[in-house]
Amino acid sequence: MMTDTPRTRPTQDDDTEHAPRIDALKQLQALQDLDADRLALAQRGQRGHAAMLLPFAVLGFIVIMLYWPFGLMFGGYIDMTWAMLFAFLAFAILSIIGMLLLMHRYQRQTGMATYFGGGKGSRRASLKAWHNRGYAATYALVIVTEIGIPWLNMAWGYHGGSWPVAALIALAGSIVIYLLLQSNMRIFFRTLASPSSPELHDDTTPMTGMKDAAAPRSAPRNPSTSPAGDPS
Amino acid sequence: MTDAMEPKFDDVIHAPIRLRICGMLEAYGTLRFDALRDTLDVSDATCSKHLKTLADHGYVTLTKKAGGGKGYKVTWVRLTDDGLRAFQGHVAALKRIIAGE
Repeated sequence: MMTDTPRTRPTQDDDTEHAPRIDALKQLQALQDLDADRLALAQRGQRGHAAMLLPFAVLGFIVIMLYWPFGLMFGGYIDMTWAMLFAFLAFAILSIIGMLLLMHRYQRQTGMATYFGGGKGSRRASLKAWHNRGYAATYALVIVTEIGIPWLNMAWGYHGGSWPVAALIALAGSIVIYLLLQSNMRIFFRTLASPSSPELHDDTTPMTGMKDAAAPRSAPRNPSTSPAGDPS
Repeated sequence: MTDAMEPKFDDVIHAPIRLRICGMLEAYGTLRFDALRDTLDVSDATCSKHLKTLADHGYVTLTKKAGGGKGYKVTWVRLTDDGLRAFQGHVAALKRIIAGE
């Protein structure tokens, strides 16, 4: 016999009352999933960038080193002039090709097109990163170093300086560029990993995840436990 | 940017996997298939199915390019402007639900 017992009715009322709250929680979880994905991709990008940095530093060393004979040429060592000029031009072209190959390698390793027309989000992150003094400073320093150190080596060549010192300058320059780029890109990826909806997070420090690639994700990964289920 | 969008619940995007695909593409614009699949932690077939649904609705474009090695082609996924608008509207709608409006 069906009777309205005091035991069942309140439970049904509770369900009705809690439904919107549970739904809101599910949507909150869905948005947190988005941020977890963003963090995972930023980590992937950072790993790809780290793998690219070493060949970039080697390339930097070669380019900086090449400015030394260019300086020698202007310093009155006429017999070297044309050979060095063509060597310089050839290596300048090779450097550009090398850079493009490195960028292609990044894209191939990560499957991310950040360097080839990233999304509106990454462009937004880039603009946001400029508000960070560290990012702006390291970016400016990278440019200054990339332009300045090769010319320093050229000046050394101009004054007839020896190649071991030129090599030392090139080595120091490439290490400085390496470290600056590393720092610069770390800030960029940290910005890229920042939550899209910070107001929904208790802790809005994306670097917690960026520092530790093995950090647990903020949301369960099993789609079957996710919000609305999959209608398809 | 998302906050400025008019909230509009989108049934196509609401499926969890598709929501996450759009979220990643919103941030990175163009991503390779395996980057999406790995981050979602789903099978090739599942990822393909959801991408096809999004592509059928004009939210993403799928482009096959050489680069997989041994002549294989890899698929690159790009969020369209319609997809971006739909995603941002949907996220705004979710935020409205969360806020209890």
